[in-house]
Amino acid sequence: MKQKKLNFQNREKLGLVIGIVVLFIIMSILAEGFFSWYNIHNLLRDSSILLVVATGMTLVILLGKIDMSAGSVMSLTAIVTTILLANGAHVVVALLAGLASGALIGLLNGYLVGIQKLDHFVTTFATMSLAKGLALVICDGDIINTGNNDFKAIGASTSVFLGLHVHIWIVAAIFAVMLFVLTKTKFGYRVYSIGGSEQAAMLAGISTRGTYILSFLISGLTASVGGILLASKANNGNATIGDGFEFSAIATVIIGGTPFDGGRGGLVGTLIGAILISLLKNGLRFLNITPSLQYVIIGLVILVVIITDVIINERRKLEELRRVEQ
Amino acid sequence: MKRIALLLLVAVMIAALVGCAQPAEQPAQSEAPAAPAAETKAPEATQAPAATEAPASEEPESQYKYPGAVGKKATMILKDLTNPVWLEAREGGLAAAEEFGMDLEVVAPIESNNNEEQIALVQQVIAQKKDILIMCPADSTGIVPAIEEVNAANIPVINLNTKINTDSGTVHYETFVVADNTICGTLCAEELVRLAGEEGEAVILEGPSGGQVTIDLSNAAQAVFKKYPNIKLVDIQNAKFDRATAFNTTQNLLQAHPNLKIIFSCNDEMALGAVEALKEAGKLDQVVVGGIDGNQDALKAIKEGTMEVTVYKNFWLQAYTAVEAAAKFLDGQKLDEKILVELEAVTPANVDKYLKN
Amino acid sequence: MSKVSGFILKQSKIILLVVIVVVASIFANNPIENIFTVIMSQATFMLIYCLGMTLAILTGGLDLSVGSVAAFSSYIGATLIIEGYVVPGIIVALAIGAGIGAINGLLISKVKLSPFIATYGMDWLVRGLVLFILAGKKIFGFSPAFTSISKGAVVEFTSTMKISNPFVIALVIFLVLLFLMRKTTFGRNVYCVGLNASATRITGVNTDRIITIIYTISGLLAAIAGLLYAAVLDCAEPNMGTHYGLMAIAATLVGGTAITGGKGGVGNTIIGVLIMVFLTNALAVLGVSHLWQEAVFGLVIIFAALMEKARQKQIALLQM
Repeated sequence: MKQKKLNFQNREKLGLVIGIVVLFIIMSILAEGFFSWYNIHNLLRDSSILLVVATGMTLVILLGKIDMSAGSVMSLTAIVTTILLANGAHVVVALLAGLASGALIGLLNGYLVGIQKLDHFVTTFATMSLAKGLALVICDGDIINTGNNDFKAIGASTSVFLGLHVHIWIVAAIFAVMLFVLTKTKFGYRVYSIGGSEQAAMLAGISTRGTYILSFLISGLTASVGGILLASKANNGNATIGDGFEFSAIATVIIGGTPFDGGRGGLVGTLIGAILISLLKNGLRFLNITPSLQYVIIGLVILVVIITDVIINERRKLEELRRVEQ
Repeated sequence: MKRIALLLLVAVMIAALVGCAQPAEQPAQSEAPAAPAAETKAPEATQAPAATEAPASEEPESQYKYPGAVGKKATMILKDLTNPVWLEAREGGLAAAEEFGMDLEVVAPIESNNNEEQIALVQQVIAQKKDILIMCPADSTGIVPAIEEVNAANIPVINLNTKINTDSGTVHYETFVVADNTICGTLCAEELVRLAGEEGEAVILEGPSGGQVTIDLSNAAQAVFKKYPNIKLVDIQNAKFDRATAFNTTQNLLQAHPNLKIIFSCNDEMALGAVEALKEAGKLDQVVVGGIDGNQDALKAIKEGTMEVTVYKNFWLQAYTAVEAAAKFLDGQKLDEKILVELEAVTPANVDKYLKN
Repeated sequence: MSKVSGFILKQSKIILLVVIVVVASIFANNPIENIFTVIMSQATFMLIYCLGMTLAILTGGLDLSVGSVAAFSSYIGATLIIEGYVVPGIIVALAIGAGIGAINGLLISKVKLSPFIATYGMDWLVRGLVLFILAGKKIFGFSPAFTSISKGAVVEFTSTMKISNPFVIALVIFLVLLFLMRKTTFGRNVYCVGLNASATRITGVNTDRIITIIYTISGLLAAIAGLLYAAVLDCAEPNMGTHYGLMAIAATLVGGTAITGGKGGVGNTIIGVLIMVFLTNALAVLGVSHLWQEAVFGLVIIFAALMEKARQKQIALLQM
């Protein structure tokens, strides 16, 4: 159905994009200092961290599952990486160790959900506690100073390449790779199939175990990357940096058009969702709205966006039914 | 189409809310001049630097005290605007700003004590090209990269309440207005030790793991307990700065350490929760409880004798002093490296000074 | 041999609970007092809002707004209670809790939002309202008429060993819900909705109404929990309840209620709550660094889930 370029999915995304543009214009007019390359660049930088975690999360949600451990993996990775750095380890070693910790949790998730067939929510909820707990034990409740300039350079504002910050490049690369994987490889096809209908996929001979394990592994890794980038901004290790991040990542994916039961949507939507949420948070700050009111507005926006999404979906389902009846 | 319309609606809502939000700031500012008069009762007792006392009792005249500061734009970044003590700080800051003719914005992260958000707020200060920044970091080292940016943008920084970590030598600030957490912790712990007769078992109730305030207070208390050979620190528990959690935690602690004599709490909320648990267990007489902050609940409890000590951090005065330091700086005056806002331990002996009735 | 292992698996959670309680008792100063305190003062409060979450999960949903609803409703109620209007204040609080719960229910059933998003957005909204409107002020110093609701006791053996009022309240709520879920058509329908909402709707059951009622109850229970906490701590504060949501989910899941809905129930949640509460107690009594608490929680949940899975396999095997 390639002719239908303006089908519902694209229309949703177009709507979101227009919404982003409108919000952007309004904020530029109302908020002093908002419309400057300095701020826009910071906006892109901040959204890149959300985006990278949401990228892995998109995979998991496409499968119809959820990864609640993302935030804690960020914290664990940050602690593992920074504590090695603080003890004199080479930056590459520390980074690899951090990524490994994320991979481990991801594999644990994949094993429990894919092979042991435990419920995904329970599992990732448990690993969330486990990862955070490990992070706390390792850092003994303290904040860790890395004392490492190489690590600091990853996050420093001056680390800019061709006008864009290092973080933006890293995340753009990861995003591009995942986009390719999801849309052009067999693995990506399997993800969409299982999300659409697990039973159908199994009957078609698709190995669900492998797909689950790999997807949770990727989710763990992207969360790890997010943790490293976040820690590099502050150049220290704090076991609380990932708190609540999984919720933001999940909201990003859902707002971007990938529904909870999966099978539809994808990374492009997630990208738009990440920009929208970051734009909202950044703009609200600039408008100097009191933090408590920001809570209210963000809650409202989430509800409004999702409500519209649902309404559009219902109309789509009705239209499809009508088409079938004809 | 519906989605576009709805998003436009949201945008309009935001615009409307902005319109509502700004007038809301004004009443706060016009209330502020009344506050210094009421507050002089407390600051006087704490022997704060004399210079800050005079302006507090003067009426703002048409001639501003620091002409160089008039009309200048400042931002004060706090850790959090949900806790009453920080709301007090905001009042103090706005009062000073009004008095000195400055345009002050007081901001804080949505999620309290969130370093990443504070970094974003600092970047906002740079984007908005403010004249001066008053910074109270949630994470002393985590905020350093952001402060480097501010330094590079040539915006002066006044450090408030929690020290920005300058060990790396890459950042500097003009002055540090402090009601030091280490001093707070030491004062409180010393008083508790004294009341316990310098012997007995002690526990520390901490706030959420990793927070700078908790780390400083806890370390200070631990250092004090170490000094006395007959004081034994038997446990440290995390009660999340929350009264209800401290209630449960204390109940559990009493089972593990039935002969407990000292509870040091990193904030008043947890101390009050501990007091409730002690009441239920009938062990109020056995244990001395100390908190930090000096909020009204705690002061009441001290008056009643259920709690033994707290440390009044006078957040209002801290913020006021910081804004005044900013004004002085903009006026071209030289500032000391540190401005101490004096703290006092509050016990039944002096609690009446602080109680607002 | 398989009979023994079958039995162990079936009662795995209860055995886990007993083990934890025994460990705590060995190291506690006064084991009986300890057990009383934990049950009367800690488990009862938690159980009330956890039951609300259980109901939501039974329908295949979730209620992430319990914390902020507890804070908001109890706070508004407190503004009246502090002036002496204790009963009106309580009624107002309950009404607010139920009202927000109803909105959640409608959003989920009529507007067809996913429960996760609806209650997540509502949580942000309500938390923001609390902080914004109430501007961080706390209310404290209630009259004994109010605080005795939580601090008082029906029977007192000693000052610490008693059948507390909250215990009685929680017990009554639990029994009512148990009856509702197990013995009424409504309850049966709730389970059906959880197992397969569309099929249930086709059979003529008004699923929208059921869902709305369930979330209303959840909001109501959150309000009750908020009031009880305010009474026992003699303080209503806008910041309470930030971790209630996750704790409630954990307790429900550990207890054995399936996250997908349709299986488990309020009885399971009691076990779940007791496990969580005694686990914290045991760790504290043992002197385990609080830093280990979260990690231990995670392991316990995984363990409980694996046990549950093994039990289901056993049942499936036995049925063959």
